Amino acid sequence: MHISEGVLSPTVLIGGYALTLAGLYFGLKKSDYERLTTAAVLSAVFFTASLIHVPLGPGSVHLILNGVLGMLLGWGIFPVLFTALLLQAVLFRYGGIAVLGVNTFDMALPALLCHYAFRTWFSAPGIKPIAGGFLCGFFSVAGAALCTAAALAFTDEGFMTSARMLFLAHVPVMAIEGIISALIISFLKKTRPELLHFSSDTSESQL
Amino acid sequence: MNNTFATLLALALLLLFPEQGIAHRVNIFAFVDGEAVQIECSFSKSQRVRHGRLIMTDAQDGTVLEEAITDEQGRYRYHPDQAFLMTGHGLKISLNAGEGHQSSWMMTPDELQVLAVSGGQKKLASQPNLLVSQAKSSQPAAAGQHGKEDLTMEQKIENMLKNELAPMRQMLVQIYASQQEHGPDIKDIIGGIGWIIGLFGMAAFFKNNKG
Repeated sequence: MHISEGVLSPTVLIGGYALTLAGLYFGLKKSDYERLTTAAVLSAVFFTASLIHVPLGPGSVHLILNGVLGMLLGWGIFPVLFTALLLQAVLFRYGGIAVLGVNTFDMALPALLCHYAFRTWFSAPGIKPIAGGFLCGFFSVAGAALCTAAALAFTDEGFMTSARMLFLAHVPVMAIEGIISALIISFLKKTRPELLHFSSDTSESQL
Repeated sequence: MNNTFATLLALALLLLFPEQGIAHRVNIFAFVDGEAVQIECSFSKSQRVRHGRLIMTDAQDGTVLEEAITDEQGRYRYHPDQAFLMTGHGLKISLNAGEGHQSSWMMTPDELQVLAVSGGQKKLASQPNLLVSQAKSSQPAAAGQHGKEDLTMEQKIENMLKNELAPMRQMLVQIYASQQEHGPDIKDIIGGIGWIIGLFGMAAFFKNNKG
């Protein structure tokens, strides 16, 4: 999902930065000191997960885990993703500084929307939290593919080709991330249920 | 127990889905090979960039010289124009592998000079009389025959060298590709995590001070 440097037009790059800056502003504003440790751990998890490629079939696969981050952090996903992507760009040349805004927004927005769509499920009894976790993981990756394709819409490939390619390549990732998110929810439900309770005021989410 | 089962199930599912590869970095490598520029494009050693779009541009003024598509092996042989070679400009080769993957390779005028010379020689070789008339205009006609022989010999040596050097070139390409592919190792990853802990630690420190 990391778009390389030099692919996008300056308009898209600036747009990406503007949207990400807005996300960062809200993410930091709605930050909750209590969740700082969770945010740091999740940032490290995201940073590591997308660096480790597991050979699979003819190619390799790596996790994105934006769904998990969105699920637990809400708006806080923006600063957390931004930090991890910035370090990946600076240390390993994955993505890039110019495209950092677009890359952050592409992965953070769908996860944030999923957080709002399913967050009431997380603290509900029965099977709902696990189902919510799966859907959150699944649709966060699907949404990220869609957003990335939208960013690539103005390149030669166009939206449809990019979207088709990205979707096809990420179908397994969507399923895997859905399962992982569901497992994490079921684990947290038993060990740290307070992490799944989100207040209904403006600071639903927290860095 | 339930969790262990679920984890195993997740891993089993993971293995069910082969994937076409999501690579972050796309590698491009180009070198002068004989009378052309050999371009090799790959995502990784085993994954070549099939049908990737290549754009050759003049590095100085940005003029597009040629557009091409890589073959099944991720390769393309580019024959630069003599007119371009004569300008003494560098060559920029851009690769667009799709899905936002892009990379480029620069060739300096020095590297391309060999090509200008060999191309020039080839031209002259096809017109040996011209060469002779230019170089040895005062010599008798017999020298034309002599020049022709020289060139044939030269071509033979060139071909021989090319064959001898081919495996070495291939080896260099492989070494370069493996260097480029060298992903982050465990030290890099731990270093990155250290950065994250440091940054969030700083955030905690300032928040704490504020509080």
